[in-house]
Amino acid sequence: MDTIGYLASGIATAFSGWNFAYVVIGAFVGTWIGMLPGLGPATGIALLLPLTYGLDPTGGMIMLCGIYFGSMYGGSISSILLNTPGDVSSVITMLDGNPMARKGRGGAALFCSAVASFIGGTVGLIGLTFLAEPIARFALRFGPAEYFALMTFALVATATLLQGAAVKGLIAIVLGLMVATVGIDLQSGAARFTMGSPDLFDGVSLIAVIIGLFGISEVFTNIQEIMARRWGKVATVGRLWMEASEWARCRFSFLRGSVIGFLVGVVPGAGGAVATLLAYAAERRASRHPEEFGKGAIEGVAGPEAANNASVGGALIPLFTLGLPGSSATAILLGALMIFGIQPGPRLFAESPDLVWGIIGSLYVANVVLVILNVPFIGIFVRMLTMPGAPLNAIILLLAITGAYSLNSNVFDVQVALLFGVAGFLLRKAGVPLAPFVLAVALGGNLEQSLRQALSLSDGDPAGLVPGGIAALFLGLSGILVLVATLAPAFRATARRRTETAKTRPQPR
Amino acid sequence: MTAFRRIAALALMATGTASGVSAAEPSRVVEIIVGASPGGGFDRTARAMERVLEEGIVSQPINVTNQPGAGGAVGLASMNRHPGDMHYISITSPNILTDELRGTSPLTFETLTPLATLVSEYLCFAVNAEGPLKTAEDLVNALKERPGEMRFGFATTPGNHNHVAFAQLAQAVGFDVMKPKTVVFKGASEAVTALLGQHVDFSIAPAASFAEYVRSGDLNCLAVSAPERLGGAMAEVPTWTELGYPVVYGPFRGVIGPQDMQPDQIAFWEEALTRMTGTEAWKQEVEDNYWTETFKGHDETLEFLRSERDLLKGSLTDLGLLQ
Repeated sequence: MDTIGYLASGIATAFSGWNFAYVVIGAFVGTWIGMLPGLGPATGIALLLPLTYGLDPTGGMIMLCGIYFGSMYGGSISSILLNTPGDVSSVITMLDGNPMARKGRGGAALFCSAVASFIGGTVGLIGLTFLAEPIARFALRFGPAEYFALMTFALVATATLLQGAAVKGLIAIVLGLMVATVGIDLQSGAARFTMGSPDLFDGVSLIAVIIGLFGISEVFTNIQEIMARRWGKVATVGRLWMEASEWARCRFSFLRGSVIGFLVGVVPGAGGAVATLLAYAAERRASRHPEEFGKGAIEGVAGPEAANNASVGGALIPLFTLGLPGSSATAILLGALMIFGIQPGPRLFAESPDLVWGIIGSLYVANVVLVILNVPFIGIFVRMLTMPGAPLNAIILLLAITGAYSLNSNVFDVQVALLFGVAGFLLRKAGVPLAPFVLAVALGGNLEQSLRQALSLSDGDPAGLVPGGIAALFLGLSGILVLVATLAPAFRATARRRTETAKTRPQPR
Repeated sequence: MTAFRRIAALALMATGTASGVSAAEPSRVVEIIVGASPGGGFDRTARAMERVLEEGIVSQPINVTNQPGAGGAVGLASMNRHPGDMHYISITSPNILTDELRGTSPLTFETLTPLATLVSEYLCFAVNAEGPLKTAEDLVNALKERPGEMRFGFATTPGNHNHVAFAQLAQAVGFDVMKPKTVVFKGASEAVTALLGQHVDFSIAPAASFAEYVRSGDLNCLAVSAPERLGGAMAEVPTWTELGYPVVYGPFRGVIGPQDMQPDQIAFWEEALTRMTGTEAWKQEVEDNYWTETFKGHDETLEFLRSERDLLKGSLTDLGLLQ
């Protein structure tokens, strides 16, 4: 059977028996779970995994994949409307999605996010369907040095989130990298900044940090607004559909984001955070209105949202072809496969084609189901904006604390979330941007460990950081970005001076 | 659990009690606390136990709770919030010994109540099938002749079972264990990725981590640190002992309860776990995971853990991880 034949039988599997119901239930439950702060795809799947234990492997995996896509979409709803992202990949969506909602374009942002997720998801799946075999081995060329180069590139790209406040942005990045050093060091086994507490051995939980910095500090900020009687004027529902001009602006963003997301997704360990970040940076570079980013540019929602969902198709390639999970969410899917008694590995495609193609087919179906399921709800979701402040804050706080606890059934994570809630409130007061902080926490660990792994392998020789073309490419691009960013203002200043002198110089008669 | 099965199980328990095997038994839900995330190795062991124990061995429902963190120490601490309560049990590994030796966790096997040892997971020394190392002898020679050039990658933490097995090979062969370039990866799949991409020369991990790649011909297992050859995809792989190097080491998996458990509670679990390991379902689990059954009851386990602790102390000192 050729690829198309397999895909057709996979889609047929998705509609056979109870499977279609599992897709719909998974997508629906996933969306609602994903809306809760802290419950992104990885935690969402982990939490709902036991629900599928009674099902057959295909049915169970289909439901989990529905939850996967659903929770990604759900995460963007809460980031856009409530400024409380569920996980690190929806942090980027929030940057422009939430300002849009505050300007009364929340409906359009949600609609754009749904369309972007659909397009991105589909592009990712098409890539998975047709490119899985040729691309699988490419991922193996990423060794420690290549990861280091990619992480460096991603970290440099966070600079595009700084929106002018360069010094405060750099403070945020450094603080984030510092938080990322807490925990048992992977290479030496030494405990760093753990203050003797076993709860800190695995480091500060990224999700608890996100819940605190965004969810809880949002509540503090809202309370302050209420106390100052300034609450309630910002949020209007506005028109729900995207306007023609908005469509025109993000036509290409959907495609750019999809391609970037897919490619980043293929690299094991890079994940949705890097995909959305690079897509956002690309949109900002490509846009004719870079100054609007961070203030509600619709491309800033379209690109990253497409990238996030496209990365799923990419991340499933190493999982299905090599048994290697590309992200924390696919790692849990891998565990689920094992619980269902299936050994994932290089022979999964050959030995369980029905299962693998059934999953791929259901993902296509889940993608369509999500759009159909969620677009009619947009009108209802947007009403969240009109909720009175007091109950809304109580609900966010309750969900944030429940979310933090549910990570590891551990009160310590709740304490971390509360601490970062206070920190986030103070940082906001000081005008320090929170997104670069969170991304630095997310990237810092991998950045440091891959650097040290690469240097161990080269006996400390820095030449070991550039073993080949991939590393050279990313490090070179990072270098260019830094150069452009530092030199551009100087150039612009000189250019301005020149035009000014040209104007003031008396014209020769 | 259906009502019928519950009644059947109760009847079974009644006969057990009547024959005087154990006086204590669970009166409500039993929690198996897993100090790792869902889907990982520990989680799968616990889920297998849950399935088998619920099949008429324990009359109460069993619930698996995941409390990952600090290599299992967070889960153990949470279990020990219920001293003397037989409804809370957890899975142990050599991590509990490493933590004790390095002073990172106050909970030792002597403060808690070890109930049984179930299996050992013997380790496989693997290389990329396309690399220059074809036999265990090639690996040994390379490590003796040019240890500083060899690149060794493993998961998940320095001083763990994979690292200790390497120290024991160094001891047996006589090369400097500190010389090879050693890289630690966050998870088994990262180590496999690095080996598949030839970013490292060899890796050590439980046989199950490599089995699928050996089957597909991507990786070769050169030797296993088991007392006897393993089955399945590993049937052709020699043991180190066969090759003349006395390296027999594999992390154990056992069951442990909170502190202050009473003799009758210990007896209940010894009995239940003995019966569990006798079932077909458990045997299948052992085979699928390339485990080797090494069942020991409470007393034997205590003794075993003390001797493992001494052995581990030596290896960790060799690795420079203990003063």
